[in-house]
Amino acid sequence: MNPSLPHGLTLDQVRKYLDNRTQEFGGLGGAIARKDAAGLRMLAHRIKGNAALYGMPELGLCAARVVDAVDAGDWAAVSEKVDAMISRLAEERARFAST
Amino acid sequence: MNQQQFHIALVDDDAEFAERLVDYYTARKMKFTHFDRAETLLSELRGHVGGTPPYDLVLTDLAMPEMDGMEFTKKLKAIHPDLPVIVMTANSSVDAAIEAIEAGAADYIVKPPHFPHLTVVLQRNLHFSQIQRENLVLRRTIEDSQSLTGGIVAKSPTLLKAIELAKRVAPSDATVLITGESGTGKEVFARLIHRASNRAEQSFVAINCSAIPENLLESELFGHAKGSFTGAEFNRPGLFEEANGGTLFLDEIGDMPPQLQTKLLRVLQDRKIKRVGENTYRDVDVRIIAATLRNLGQEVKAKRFREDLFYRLNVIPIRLPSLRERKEDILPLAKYFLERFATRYSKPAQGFTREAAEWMLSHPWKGNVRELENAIERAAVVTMDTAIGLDDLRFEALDSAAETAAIASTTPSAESTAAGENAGTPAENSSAGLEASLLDEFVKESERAAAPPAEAPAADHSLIPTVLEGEPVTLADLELRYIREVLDRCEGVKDRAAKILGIDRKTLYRKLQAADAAEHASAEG
Repeated sequence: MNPSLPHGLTLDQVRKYLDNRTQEFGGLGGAIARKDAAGLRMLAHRIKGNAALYGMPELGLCAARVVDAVDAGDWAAVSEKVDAMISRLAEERARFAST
Repeated sequence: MNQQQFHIALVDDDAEFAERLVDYYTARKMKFTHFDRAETLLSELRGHVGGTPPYDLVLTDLAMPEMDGMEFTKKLKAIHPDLPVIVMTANSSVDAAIEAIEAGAADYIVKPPHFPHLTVVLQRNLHFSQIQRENLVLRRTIEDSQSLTGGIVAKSPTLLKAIELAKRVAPSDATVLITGESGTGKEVFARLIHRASNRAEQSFVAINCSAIPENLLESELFGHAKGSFTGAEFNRPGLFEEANGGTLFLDEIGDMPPQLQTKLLRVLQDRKIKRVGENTYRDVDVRIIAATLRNLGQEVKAKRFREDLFYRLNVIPIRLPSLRERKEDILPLAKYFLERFATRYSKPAQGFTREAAEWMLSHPWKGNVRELENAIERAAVVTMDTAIGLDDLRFEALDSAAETAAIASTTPSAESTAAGENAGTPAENSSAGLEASLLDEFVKESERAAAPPAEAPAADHSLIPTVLEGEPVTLADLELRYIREVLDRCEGVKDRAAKILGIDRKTLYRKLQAADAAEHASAEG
């Protein structure tokens, strides 16, 4: 499968973006355990704003749900939404790895 | 819209977002400079307070660590109220964006942006910003043209005396002969006399007698009848008729051919003209202002200029001093031109370095005010700094080996000597004290202009804040407000307002009537 890229975007840029997220997501478990609302929110807020520019609007939506859960202070929901975001990132990696 | 010329400052702590945006718009020839901290851009822009910022627009994120977009917008608008700011928010609620607009932002977009939508928002705001700048230049031009001494910067006693004489003779219909070197502002003076005369509402028509071939000059001045010569396919009035009721400015009168001198003399005596190829005379009511760089007295002695015409023209002689003779005006003129060109070209320069000011005072300015104006325009265009430096200014002067040698010495005393050598007059050799005091005063003033003020300066615009601070208005509404502002400035004189607006009087009436009708309908409805 050859996923379509937004105009002007290269596959190298997308892969670099995915690598950066993978590295960031490594610290998510610890942030949830510490209930680091500010740190989690900042990370998810950025992904919400930039994922679509790298051809991953679904990942942006997942991040938006994390922001909403953090804002609601519902840590069970935060954990669930963060898991969904991590899964989505894995799907995106697989999608772009196959090209 | 041509996007090539626009430069946008992007403020966002998200480097990956910025990278995508910059990539996208660089490919579309729109220049973006990325700042990951708002404070960095704010510091840069503080260096341009009171002048033109190096960016046409600022696009900023709202949610940022340290200084957020809201605080940044408020601080930015305090120092650059005219620089448009667009905020970006990733919040689905637009409350924060609305709050930012209340703080002075021009618009907002939701993150992630849809690029075509963002492009439209950017273009719309850039276009508006461009109109703002043009409006500023236009307002200054209007202010210049309406002030009696518009475009004349004078501190020197010699020029002030000439202005005083011009104002005194303006209300009469007496013929004026303005003499002075090339570039001293003879036409500017002629316009001053016209504006201050009872003919100010009528035409001011100018012709350069040396620029038109001898065989065409007569037809140009007096008009011609159809078939009077090859190519005369229609009856055509000349400049005397065009200036009827107003003022005719005959520049370089010393170059007028002898045959035409005779005809001009007759017009001055009889106030009648005859078109080429016609036998009938027509009455004309024209005030003549003539100008020349030649010594007409000597031209008379050399039999190149009619003595009787000379006396007819020389009723009120006004001699304009060269720039060398009025050194007090060099630096104020340089400042005046710099303000004008920095605004016109959106350049950061607001003042001059001490070396540049010293050089200006020592340069001979053989082309007078015109040469100075050209030098400042060029310097304003090429400089990248807030202060015009010596290298920006002496670009052209370096062509002359003698001048290169003269300006190689950088000490003030050496430069004063060089000035004396360049000008070669005893008066200038003794002017070192005057130059030093002018220089000190000017440099202090330049430094004050370049330094950021303790508090943000109050905005000095009338029309634009009206538009920006209130509800957005339609183009038609904006046009009407502008027309009314110009009318106010012309004290209700519609002819003058129409001229400034670049439309004819009928169009002005029609627009005002349409506006009145619409307002009545709205009031009744």
